[in-house]
Amino acid sequence: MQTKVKTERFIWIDVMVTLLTLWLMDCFYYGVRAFVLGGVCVAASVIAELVSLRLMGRKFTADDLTCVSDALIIALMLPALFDMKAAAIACVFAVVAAKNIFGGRLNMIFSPAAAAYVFMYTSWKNQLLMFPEPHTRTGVLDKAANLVSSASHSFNITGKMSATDFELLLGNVSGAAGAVSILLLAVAAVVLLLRRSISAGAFIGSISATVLLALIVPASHTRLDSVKYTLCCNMVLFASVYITADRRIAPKREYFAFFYGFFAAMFSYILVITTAKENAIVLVSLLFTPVALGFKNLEKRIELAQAQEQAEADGEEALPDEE
Amino acid sequence: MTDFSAITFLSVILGSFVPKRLPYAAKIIIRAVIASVVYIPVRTVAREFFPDVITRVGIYFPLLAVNSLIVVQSETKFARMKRGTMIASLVFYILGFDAVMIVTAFLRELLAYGTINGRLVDADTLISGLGLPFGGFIFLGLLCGLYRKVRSVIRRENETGGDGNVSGN
Amino acid sequence: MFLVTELVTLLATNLILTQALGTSTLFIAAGNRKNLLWTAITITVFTSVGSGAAYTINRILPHSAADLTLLFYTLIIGAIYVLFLAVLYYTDFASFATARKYVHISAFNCAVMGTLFTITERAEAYPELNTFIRFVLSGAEAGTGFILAAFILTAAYRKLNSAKVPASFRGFPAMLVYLGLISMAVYALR
Repeated sequence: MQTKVKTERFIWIDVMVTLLTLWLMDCFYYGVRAFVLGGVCVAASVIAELVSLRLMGRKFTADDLTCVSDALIIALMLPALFDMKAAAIACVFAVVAAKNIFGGRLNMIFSPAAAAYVFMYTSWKNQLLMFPEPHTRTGVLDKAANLVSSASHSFNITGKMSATDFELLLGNVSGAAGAVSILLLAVAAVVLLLRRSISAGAFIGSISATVLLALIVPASHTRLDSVKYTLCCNMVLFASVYITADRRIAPKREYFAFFYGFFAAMFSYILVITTAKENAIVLVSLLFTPVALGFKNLEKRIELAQAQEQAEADGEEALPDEE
Repeated sequence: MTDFSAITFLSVILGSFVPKRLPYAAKIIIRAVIASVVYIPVRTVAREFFPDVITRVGIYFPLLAVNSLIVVQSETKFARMKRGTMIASLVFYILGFDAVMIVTAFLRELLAYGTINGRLVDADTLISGLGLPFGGFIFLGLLCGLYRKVRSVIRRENETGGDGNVSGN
Repeated sequence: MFLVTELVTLLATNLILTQALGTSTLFIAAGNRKNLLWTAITITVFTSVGSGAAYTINRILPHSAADLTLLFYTLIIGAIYVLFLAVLYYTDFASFATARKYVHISAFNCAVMGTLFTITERAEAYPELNTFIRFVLSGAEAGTGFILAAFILTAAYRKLNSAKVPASFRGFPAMLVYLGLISMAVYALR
């Protein structure tokens, strides 16, 4: 039990370290506005967590700080000039409606960040999908101006990418700052995989389905471009690391997690190439929650059957001794 | 809301005259037919007084005739009561449904469209998703949970406050 | 790819997830997993056969008597209800007592009635859908959507009724919010 608690906390610390790095990058590109937006998300989440836990009659412990990582994931998926009040509402929604109503971190059903993103997608879609150009510095209270659609949007529509590979790697393209820094995300993925802080099965499943489909049904003129840009656009890498491969949501057994990630990514790729739906993987992750739950139910049954078999075997072994 | 109350009240009252010894399926069919007949004059009156509402409500309007109070509760609950008790109980059920409708509609309209009864109010961040069917699900679920919480707190307070004993002994 | 687009269509036209029709029936049936699946299958039969009959009623009924539509639909569903029970009684008497409860739950509810009205409304807007075959297929599609919604609810059933869920939200409120979040994802994908 002690080990489990420690493991949970270490996972949270690992995830937080990678998220803080991405947040730093976000601040580098968009200045103080991005910093404050992240702060607002964290503050709203912590307050919502404190109040809802109090209403549930539970104490706020260090483990409940997972709401901070969820808040940062949400903040990193937003345009830097996104309305702060809307961001705060979304964070409260994530904590209350997508997590604590179902029992909080002890009984997770949905990824709070994915739920909050879809919530914003349905209520403030235009604001959510319009971004400032990188290096646009604005004041904390400035309203959004001169916004452009994301690089992912142009890729989904035209199959072409105007940014260079170097710009893509550094995240110097229009889009949610935390989700476009590909180099940092790749490093974060490797670190989290090595530290076993994300579900390797779900992550590998998600990436392999995207690569496989990008090769079979290219979204660009060449297969190499298709693979490259498909992985870099539509938050595929970001969502694969922080949403699909979230250990709290993905099935525990790696091969089940692989299929969960594989099908979610496959479904979202097909949506992207057929309907040009931006950031489809985040929407699909929420929709695939019942699939993850189905796999988890299956895992429970297998565990039960194995325990039963083991008990029967032990009984048979014990029988001759009794005789 | 008025239409819901009228259809439900009249249908359940008229349905209470259906002979009890008939098979369950026959009773349900007769009750549903009664509700469908009651629906005709109610719709005519509603069209006269609230023509816009009928268009806006669309297919949901005829579905009032198959609401659970008429098709399920009438047979499982109301049919087992004496007529006087049944009428009183039915009125409170309908009032309860109406209260939920008013509260939910008021809050959803305010938060999703920034209006109260169609009149604009000063709200700068609107949550348009709450005006959609999924918003209704989530909002109703949250309100239902909050209501249960308040009810359990009140009940606990009543239990502990009854004899002044809070020790549980 | 075809399967995925079909699945998206099925989700996008799902009456429970997009129009909140038949939710109470789904929750009543959600009392146990076996009930849920059998109710969903029975509802599919009702929506498919009912839609075919609704097409006939729409053809016969003059436009001036549109207010009688509900009455005729009720009579259709009533007839299917009796027929279903009779078939069940004469073909499988042994399991009649168990199976009839699914028929009782499935007959008169918003899922079935809502399907008939939605299909009719759609056929009025798009005349190419106004054929007998299209009506029956749309009815079957709505029923399949109900089965899908049943599976979605079944997957989370244990977690939604777990002791870890706060007592005030356990069961019905948690189910509502759960379905709400799934419908939100479906809406975002449309």
